[in-house]
Amino acid sequence: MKSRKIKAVALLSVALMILALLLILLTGCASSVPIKEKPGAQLWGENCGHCHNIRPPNSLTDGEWSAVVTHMRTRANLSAVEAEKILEFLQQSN
Amino acid sequence: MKTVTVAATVVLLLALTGLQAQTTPVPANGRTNFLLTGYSATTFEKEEGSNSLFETSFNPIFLWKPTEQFLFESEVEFEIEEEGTDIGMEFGQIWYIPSDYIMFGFGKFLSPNNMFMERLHPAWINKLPDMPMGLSDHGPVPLLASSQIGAQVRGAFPVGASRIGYAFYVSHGPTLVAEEDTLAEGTGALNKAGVPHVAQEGEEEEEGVPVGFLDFSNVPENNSDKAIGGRVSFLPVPQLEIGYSFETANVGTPGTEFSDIRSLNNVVDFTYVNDIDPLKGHLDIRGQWVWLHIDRADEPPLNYDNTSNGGFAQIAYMPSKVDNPFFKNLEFVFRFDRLDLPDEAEFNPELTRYSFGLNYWFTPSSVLKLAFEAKKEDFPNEPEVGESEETESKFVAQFSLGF
Repeated sequence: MKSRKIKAVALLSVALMILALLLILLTGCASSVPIKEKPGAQLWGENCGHCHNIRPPNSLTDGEWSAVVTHMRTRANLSAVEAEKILEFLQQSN
Repeated sequence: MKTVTVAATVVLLLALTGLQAQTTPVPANGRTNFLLTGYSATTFEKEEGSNSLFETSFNPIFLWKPTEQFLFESEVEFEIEEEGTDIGMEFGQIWYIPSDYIMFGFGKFLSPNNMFMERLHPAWINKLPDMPMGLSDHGPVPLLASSQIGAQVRGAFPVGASRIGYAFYVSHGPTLVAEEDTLAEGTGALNKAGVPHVAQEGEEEEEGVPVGFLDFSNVPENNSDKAIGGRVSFLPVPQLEIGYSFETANVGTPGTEFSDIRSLNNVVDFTYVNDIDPLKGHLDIRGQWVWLHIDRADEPPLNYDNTSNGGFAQIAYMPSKVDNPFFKNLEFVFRFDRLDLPDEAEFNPELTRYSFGLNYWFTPSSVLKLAFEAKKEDFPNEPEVGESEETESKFVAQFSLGF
């Protein structure tokens, strides 16, 4: 009984991994552009949209975005270079 | 000795990384950066065989960044309860960020080994009206902490197009529940003297964590040993994230026959989020699974193989690239979550839940969620009737606004 359940969980995990790999191959998302070379707008879409819908840049002031981006850097483990580029984009676009 | 080593290591890291921090200026003209943000939700639910009910909550989040190196963040939750308004601090911590690759956090923080709580718990982000089973404060048996009280260190660095992240923490950790208890709401399994709290006359009674499992309520701390845990994550491409987490702790209470008992959990999580043109929409696939082992005790009632597992897998699709303005704001969600508890435990159902959701997004942060949930409970060894099975269904609607 127990081994059947463990097998089911293992199969589910493997199925999810295979599904993700297939999706990556099908959608061609395996970008080879280094993070340091990506523009802030692209990093904003990729990182913020990873967990939630993105809010328009003009919804906050420069100072508010500074607090939010630092908050999200700590929460989502953004690298410093990503956080800097995203903040620069948001402050230029609001 | 262990405490001294940990403290010395923290001081050394702070000293080394602080060298860079001293050169960074404070904000111009003395201004600091402050933001009051947060979310609110009202939920209606009707469970088979129960009265329908409304619940509402308001969660303001305070962010204050006085300089480039410091951030204070806190989420406070206000919930309407039978006896009035319940107020709780979801998290409240001070961050010190001395360099590009390391950040120190101190206070009460969302558990880094729980991807769901860190990333997805706000009602306007969570795609279903409730949370998966197995998290503390949500569901019958917690396998994983929602929050920790202690200190953490974390950071991330890019490696070409990929990113590696880390987070490690030391915290109060969980408490093993060794005897049956009825808890007053908001209290842990043990009172400050380290003995089980029993609800007094007139005090509201609430089911506590069942015997043999862990209470993750953080306070009071039942021993001097601290939990150590962490998470390492890898994003080979921005759309995909794979994480591994763990936590180990002495969970027994000194002076009892269970004082040496330790727990170890291992957690894997997975996220894939992408816009897919052939599907004309946005696909969001996530999962998190935890395996929890608690040492076998020599004495009853905990002298059995105490290993549990549980978690969730979720898929959501939003046809955001179709032209129709109504359909492009719809979202379809399916979640499978499960708890598999030890057969020998006093509370031992195997719980499996299937949730189907339909969401409508009015704006990027305001959503109406409708969900139907079917939960199956298998009781493998009921004393009277042997193996038995029950199925419950529930309808839930929630309106949530992030601000």
